[in-house]
Amino acid sequence: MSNLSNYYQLYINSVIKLASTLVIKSAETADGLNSYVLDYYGSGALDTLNPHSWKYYMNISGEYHPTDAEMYVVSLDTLENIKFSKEILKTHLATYDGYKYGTRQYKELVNRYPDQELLIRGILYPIDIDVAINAKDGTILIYPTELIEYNEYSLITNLQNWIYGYKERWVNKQFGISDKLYPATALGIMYLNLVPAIINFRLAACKTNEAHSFHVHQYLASHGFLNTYLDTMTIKQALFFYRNIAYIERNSGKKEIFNWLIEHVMTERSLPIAEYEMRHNLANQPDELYPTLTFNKQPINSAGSANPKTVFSLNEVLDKEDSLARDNLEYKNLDMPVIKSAMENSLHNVQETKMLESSVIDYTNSSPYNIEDILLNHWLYLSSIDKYKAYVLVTNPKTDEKLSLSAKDAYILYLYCYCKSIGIKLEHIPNMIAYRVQQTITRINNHSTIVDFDILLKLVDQKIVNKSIIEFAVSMQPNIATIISTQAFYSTCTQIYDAAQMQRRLVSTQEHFIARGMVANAIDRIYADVVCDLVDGEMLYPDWFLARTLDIEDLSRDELVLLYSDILKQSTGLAVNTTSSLKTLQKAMVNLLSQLSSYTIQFVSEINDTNIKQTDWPSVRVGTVKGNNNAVIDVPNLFVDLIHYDTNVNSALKVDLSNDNVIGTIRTKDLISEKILFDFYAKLGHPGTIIFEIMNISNIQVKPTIPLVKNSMDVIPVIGIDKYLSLTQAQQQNMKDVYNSFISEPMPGNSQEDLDQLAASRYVVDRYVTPDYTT
Amino acid sequence: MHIVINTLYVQEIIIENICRTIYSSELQTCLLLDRPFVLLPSSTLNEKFSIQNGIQPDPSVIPSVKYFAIGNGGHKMVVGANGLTKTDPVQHRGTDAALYSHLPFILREISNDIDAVERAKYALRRKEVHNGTTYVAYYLKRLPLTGVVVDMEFINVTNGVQTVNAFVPNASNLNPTPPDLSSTGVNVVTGDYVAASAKVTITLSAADVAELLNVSTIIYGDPGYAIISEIGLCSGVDKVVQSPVDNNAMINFNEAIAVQVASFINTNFPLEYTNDGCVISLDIGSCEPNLSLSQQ
Repeated sequence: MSNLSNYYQLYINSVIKLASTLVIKSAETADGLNSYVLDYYGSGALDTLNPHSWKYYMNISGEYHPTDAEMYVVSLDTLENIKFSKEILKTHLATYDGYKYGTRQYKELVNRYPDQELLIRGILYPIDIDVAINAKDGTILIYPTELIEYNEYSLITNLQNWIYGYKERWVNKQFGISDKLYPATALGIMYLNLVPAIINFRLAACKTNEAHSFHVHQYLASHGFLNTYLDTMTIKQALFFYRNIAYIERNSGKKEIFNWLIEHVMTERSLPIAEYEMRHNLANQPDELYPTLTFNKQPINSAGSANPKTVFSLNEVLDKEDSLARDNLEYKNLDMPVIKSAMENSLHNVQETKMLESSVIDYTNSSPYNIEDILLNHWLYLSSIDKYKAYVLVTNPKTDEKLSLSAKDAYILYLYCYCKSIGIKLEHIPNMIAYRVQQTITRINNHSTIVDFDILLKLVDQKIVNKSIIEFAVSMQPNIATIISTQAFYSTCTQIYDAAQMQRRLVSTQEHFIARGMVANAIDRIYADVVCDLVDGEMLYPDWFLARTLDIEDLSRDELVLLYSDILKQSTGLAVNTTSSLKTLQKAMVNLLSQLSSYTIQFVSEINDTNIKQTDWPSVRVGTVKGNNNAVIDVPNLFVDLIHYDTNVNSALKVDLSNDNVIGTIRTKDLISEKILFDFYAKLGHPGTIIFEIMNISNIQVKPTIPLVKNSMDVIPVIGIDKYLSLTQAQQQNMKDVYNSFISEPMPGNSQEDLDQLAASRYVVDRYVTPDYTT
Repeated sequence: MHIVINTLYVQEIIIENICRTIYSSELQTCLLLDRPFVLLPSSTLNEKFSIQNGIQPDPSVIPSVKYFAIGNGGHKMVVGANGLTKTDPVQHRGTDAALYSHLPFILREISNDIDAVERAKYALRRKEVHNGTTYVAYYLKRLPLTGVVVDMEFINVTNGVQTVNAFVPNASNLNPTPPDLSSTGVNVVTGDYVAASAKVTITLSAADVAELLNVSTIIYGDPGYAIISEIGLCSGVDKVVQSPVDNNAMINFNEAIAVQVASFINTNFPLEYTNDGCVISLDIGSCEPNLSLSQQ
């Protein structure tokens, strides 16, 4: 009952907090504050035609009215004295959290400025001033979203309607004419009634998907204490059991219920579950009298099992059950022969067992660059160069004294406590190496940026690694400016972590094996190993403690562990003892399934206890591919596209010119050649390729349309030779050119040798025409 | 009229032209850790072509990459904004276990099979019927690995310029000293890399191309589909098996079992215009950055 009372009290507190922080537009309040300004500061302080200048609207939108006193607080991020304003709180995130409604700091601030609580709330939960001005009276303008649960879709709508109805039914504006405090009283009573209204709306939502977690918790607690699993359930799972647990209880033992549970407990969380089936392996029969027993693991749901092994021996199966009960190990040896005999003699060669197994590999923190390493190293590096300037508040576990430390001092103290807790007492504050930290380069306006892009490009051969790959590699890297809050530091480190994961995948996608190495190296160049000086020169720890009036020498080992864990958590934002590990989840879900199952089944689970470290071994890849094509193509002339044509024809006649008679054989085919130079569109997928080809054509025949007749020398002459022969010798010698290249020079002599030389060296005609004796 | 065409090209492969498979990753891990290699269903070309399907290699033998397969499904024609048509590669996924469209290297009528000497160069042999005629097809060819050596290289890239030298380990590698981390300042890496690779040359002669044109003519009725646009480097194990020949007789054939695609390579060889053969040189290996620090 006391447990219920505690939960109930927490629930009621959250309802009151929600009712207290709902900002509901109140025109009467705006008018009242205007009257206050008018009365105390005169008509010059109020512009009645400009609501943007009214105190009410300015305050609820987080703006100071000229009549408001400026509020200053000590930043919980930097310990500086800062103005309490919505703009400054955007960067001082720890301060913002520390001053949220209902906290000790909030109450202290309200005590200091009792007339400005409206402004304080406006600064913490500011609304758009135009929205506020244009809203209907009674509109809910803003509320802390964390006070409304994810599945309470219609609660605010219901509250809004209730407020409109309340004002319509109960508020009589005219009373304000005679009683000035009536609007304030009516508003106060309405806020008081908001508490039961919220409680009633949440009660009305019971047994629906909008049920508040308090009601779900209490309901499941009364059904097998399923509330103990709520921390590990998703909302969907919690609502599933909230809706169906009574049906499950009434129908337990049915196959469909078991399948339903598998789906909503295991598959919903991507947890595999498999059943074991005994089979007779007859491979060794008839040499062996009995069949060999094998146990096949069959998946029940679609989630992939981590262990690919599917066939087990009896011994292996019994080994899996060792830890299920205290004496299993002892009884296993006794019972194994009995089990073996019973199964070997089973009338069925396939027999289902009652063992179910969930085999999972937890890859949490398996990346080579995990978030813990990134937080720790960047905490050291950024605080040592004064980029991480937040102050953290830690608790001395012995005295409960609050210690306010800068990020750098926190690291120095963390180092001391950690080393002392493992038996190493540091004398001097050492220089520490921050490994693989993102470099910061100071650019204009003292803003830091990431590594110089051009340097990365110089580390790779751009013929192999495209510039866009390097651009992509740095695209997710955060720009590290001065960090003044733990939240901002954690956010920055998360971005670095996300970038590192992307970069790992980018390296693995490189298919050219040289490119893979180059991209990996260029990415490594974004980071650096930096030796960090935590103090100027040498300093002993006792002196450092003395300077800060810290006294932790008498802390026990356990207290040191508590202290350094607190420092780590407060400085990095890392939740040290998380309960959301996959192992915890698997254990909870298997227990839940086991509890709701009526079968006498045994669940075994398998998961790694420690983090898996991935080595990122490079696989063998293909690098540069060189190709060489050869083609010989027989091209029909019809398809040849001649775009350029040259002829060069040689001909030599051996003629006795003086006697006008042919001597010897006229060498025709041997002496005649024709060269054609042409361009050819090759159609090989290389448009525009021009191929030059030289063809030797040995013979071109032309058939004259009029048959040739023998001349006076009783020979069929070459076309045109008659005219040539009819010329005098002098005329023949003066003839310079017949078609294109004929050059006739004076005969060097009349000897046979001279004639041969002439015939061999002269171009005579461009084409040789073979007489056609047949036509 | 004869036209002789010789085209040389070098593909500096960026992302899309090569794809390693999960099966090669499994094989490499088994090989490096000396773990048993488990051949899973739906991962072998033997299963795809129903050739020695399900035959496991001897447990003492780990498959190795010594075959290649070809296909004509690794390209597509696209029309650009300018109205011109060009070929684009079609990428593979790391989980793909076969080419998009395999082409056999040889498709002969079973009564006109290649001789034993030629047959020894091929694997994944099976009978196929096209247009009522029985043929024998060979879907795998053995890589010419004789004489192939693995080189180790030390690569330095300074200002984007690559300098490659042979790497030979010496006594300093056997007695390494920690990197010289500067006690002050920022230590960053430089552009040093080490690589180990082997150069493997795939050659298709004019006769090979003639066979492939014949293959395309038989399957598609058009030699123009003899386009090698995807190559699969395959791992497997040789095994002498009985394979059918003419008249229902059987011969001993050095077949490949446990054949898995280790890597896909996109190419573009239209064989109708490459009928004098082609040569494809591959550089296969691995490269790692070599830690070398400089102070910034």
